[in-house]
Amino acid sequence: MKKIFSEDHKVIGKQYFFTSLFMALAGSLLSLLMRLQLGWPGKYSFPVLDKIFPNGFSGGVMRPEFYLSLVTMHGTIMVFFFLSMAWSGFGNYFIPLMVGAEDMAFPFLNMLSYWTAVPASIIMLGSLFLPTDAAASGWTAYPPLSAVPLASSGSGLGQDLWIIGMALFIVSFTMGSLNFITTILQMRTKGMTFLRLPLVIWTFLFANLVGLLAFPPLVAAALLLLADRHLGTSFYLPSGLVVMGHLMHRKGGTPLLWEHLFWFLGHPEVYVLVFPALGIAFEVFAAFTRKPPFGYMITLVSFVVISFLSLIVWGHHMFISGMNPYLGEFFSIATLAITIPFSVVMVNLLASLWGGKLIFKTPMLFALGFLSTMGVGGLTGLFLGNAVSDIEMHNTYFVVAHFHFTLLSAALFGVFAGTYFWFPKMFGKMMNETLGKIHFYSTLILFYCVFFPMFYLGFGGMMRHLYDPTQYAFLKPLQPINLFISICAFLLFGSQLIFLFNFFYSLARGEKAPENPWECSTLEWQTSSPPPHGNWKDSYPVVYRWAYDYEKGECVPQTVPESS
Amino acid sequence: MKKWLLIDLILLPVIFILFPSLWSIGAFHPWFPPLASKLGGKIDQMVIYTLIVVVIFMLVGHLFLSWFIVRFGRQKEAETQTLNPKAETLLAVGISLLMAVSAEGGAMALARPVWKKLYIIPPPSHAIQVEITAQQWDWLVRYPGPDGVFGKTNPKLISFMNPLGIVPSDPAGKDDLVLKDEMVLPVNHPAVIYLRSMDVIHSLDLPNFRIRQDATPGMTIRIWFTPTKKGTYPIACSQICGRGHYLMQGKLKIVSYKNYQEWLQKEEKEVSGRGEKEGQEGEKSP
Ligand code: HEM
Ligand SMILES: [Cu+2]
Ligand SMILES: [Cu+2]
Repeated sequence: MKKIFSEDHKVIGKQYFFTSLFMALAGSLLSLLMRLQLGWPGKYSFPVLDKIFPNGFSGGVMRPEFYLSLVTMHGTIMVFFFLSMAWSGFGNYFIPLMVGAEDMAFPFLNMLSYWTAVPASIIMLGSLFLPTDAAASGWTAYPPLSAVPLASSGSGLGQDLWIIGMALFIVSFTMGSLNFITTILQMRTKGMTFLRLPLVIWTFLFANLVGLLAFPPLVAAALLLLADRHLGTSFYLPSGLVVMGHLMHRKGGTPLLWEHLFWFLGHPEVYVLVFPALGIAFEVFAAFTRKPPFGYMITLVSFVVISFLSLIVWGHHMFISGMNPYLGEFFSIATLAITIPFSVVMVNLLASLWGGKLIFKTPMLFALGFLSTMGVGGLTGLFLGNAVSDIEMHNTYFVVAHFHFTLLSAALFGVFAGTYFWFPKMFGKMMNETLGKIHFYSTLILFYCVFFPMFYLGFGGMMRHLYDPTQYAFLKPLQPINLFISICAFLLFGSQLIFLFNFFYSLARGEKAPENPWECSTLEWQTSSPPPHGNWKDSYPVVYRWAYDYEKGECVPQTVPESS
Repeated sequence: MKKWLLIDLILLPVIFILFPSLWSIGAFHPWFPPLASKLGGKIDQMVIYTLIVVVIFMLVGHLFLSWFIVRFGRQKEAETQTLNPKAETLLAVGISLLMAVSAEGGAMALARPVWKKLYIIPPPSHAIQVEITAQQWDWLVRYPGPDGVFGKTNPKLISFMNPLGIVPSDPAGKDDLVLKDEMVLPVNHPAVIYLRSMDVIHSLDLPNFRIRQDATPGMTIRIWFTPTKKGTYPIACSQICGRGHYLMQGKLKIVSYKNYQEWLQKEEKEVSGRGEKEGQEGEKSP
């Protein structure tokens, strides 16, 4: 019991980490089912799948409703239950270590946070096996589709479970982020001034501040949605709705209210997902170039600006929703303004390589891959932040490509860079380098192969959430691209098995890790691998210098006094 | 690990240059559905402008990345150990200016007039008026008939025969023409669409006209365009709207003004004929 409901941040960190890996596996399998359908729409039947999802595949052929459930659950699981949770894992494990604390500020709250996320995950996954469908209104759950059970089979029990799962998740996230923020602000050890903090701690701080401000409104919005569904209210339902021939007696609401509330969470959420990946990239670059990052202060200031702007750009998801066109202009300008500090961060990351001695260990390779893919993801946002080009790109595969280049980039390259980097610390073993490199190269190449062509599909006008693109004459010529993407997606998944093998093999058979295998200066490396209970051997570390002091390529640990 | 160093030094730059370059070349292939509207050309221009900016930044960025990898991957020792605040400030200011001019300034200069024309300035007064009501999973297209006025509708009256619930007592509605998943418009003549939805959010997607507009229940949203080429074009739905989302297609025929009027008259005759018949039936029943 003590072990399971542990209040030790390292145990909770690992619990989060493994849960998120499991959810990643689930979410990827869902995406493979979608790719199966999109690559070969209606061509083959798969009686095996009938056994697993008796409801989703009638006679081995996917039902259109089930496709929509798959998209919805894939998006929700990947965004909230994989990527957010993976950062909770790393944050839990490394924030106390890197600021020199023995645990989180509120260990009990921390335990509660994880054990709220678990039922949320189970509810989400479980809803996939409902005899009526899982939620099928997209990860954005726009009403009336999500509010009126008549509108879609997924809008019955599945949507209720989705709402409850999301609300629980946000409760859990809020507890977690309060903890992260307090720990960073209050638990820094002696000498750890703000400007001596490693960049990754800053990114966790900003990500959680933004999350704390942006997430709770969605709980309120979700409760209103539940009320619309079960109590006959009309927050999101206008008068005169006729769904499937049934007149609904509601009046006065508007779906735009949900769109505003959802995207008030939804847009900042992507920064919550991307910031820690950027922080990890800065950390990994410093370690494997043997020099401090370029522009520490300017990067910090840029993060502050991005965090602030991220809260006022949500409307760029609503340019064509029927919202006031003047608002569209405002959101367009604000969104394009974000590209300025964001480019500064990305260029600083790139410039951090200048003058260094590059060491191509696996974490470094993944950080380089992250820089490339995140760069493409960020730049392609220019098409969508501009209200006019968004008309042409909105809700097409261009958008799908764009957000996979940002989110999947953070997930594949950011999370893996962090995993290869910190694995020795977390588990006391080294991961296999050769397998790591094979994993990296196959992942990078296949990632491009899967998601680069999706931009073309978007240019060609292929809509999102499409069960069978071949129904449209103008999309038929694009079908070979879909086939190619599907084949590469299966290979991409296959290459992740290399990682899983490497992970468990190294866990069991890996070389024993030294205290500081990458010769880093930050605090987490100045204790044993893995750190003892209470983190520090005899007393708290005392910090004398900033996180990136290098002398002739040798880093000086933060705990070394200035004079020596 | 010596062997790997050589592999990394070759493979990384090759991948980082090859894939973005291939993508950039491919991106200029004419992917867009054939253009058939006036303002659509301006929207395409916006996309192409952005594409050029993005391709340049992406390629330059990856060239630097590859260069750094080759240049500093063979280094025996890191050169820079201390910070250079001057270089940092200069780079940040330079990048900010570059983005402000190309992404923000250039884009807004090109985009604002188009956005204004599409959404803010009222469309030409002689434009043809059509109302489209989205419904799971059809497009109900209504022409106002010779009087040029749409009849009132009431959702209570919606039935199989009266899918829009047009109020029979409103004279303006008597001559309204209602079609399903089919629309005809004359070439080179502006058309205004009043977009509504009966049930969930749909999105009217006319790929060839670069029109994409959500049909949000409870709102009537105005959008307009001028077709420039005759032909038959797809109407699609680009907002997730339930099981039949992937089947929610319609056809938009663009014909000459003369053919359009002939077509309209023919359809109108059917409407008035139906009205008379209904009237007679009404008289017969007690
Ligand atoms: C294993 C690699 C992945 C593949 C092959 C993949 C593929 C797909 C596909 C085919 C769709 C559906 C597009 C549509 O029909 O509209 C989709 C949607 C989506 N994916 Fe992924 N994906 C992957 C990983 C991820 C990750 C890691 C994330 C986020 C962290 C993510 C976030 C999303 C989101 C938010 C959606 C939109 C869902 C919606 O529209 O409701 N995906 N993905
Ligand atoms: Cu956004
Ligand atoms: Cu629709």
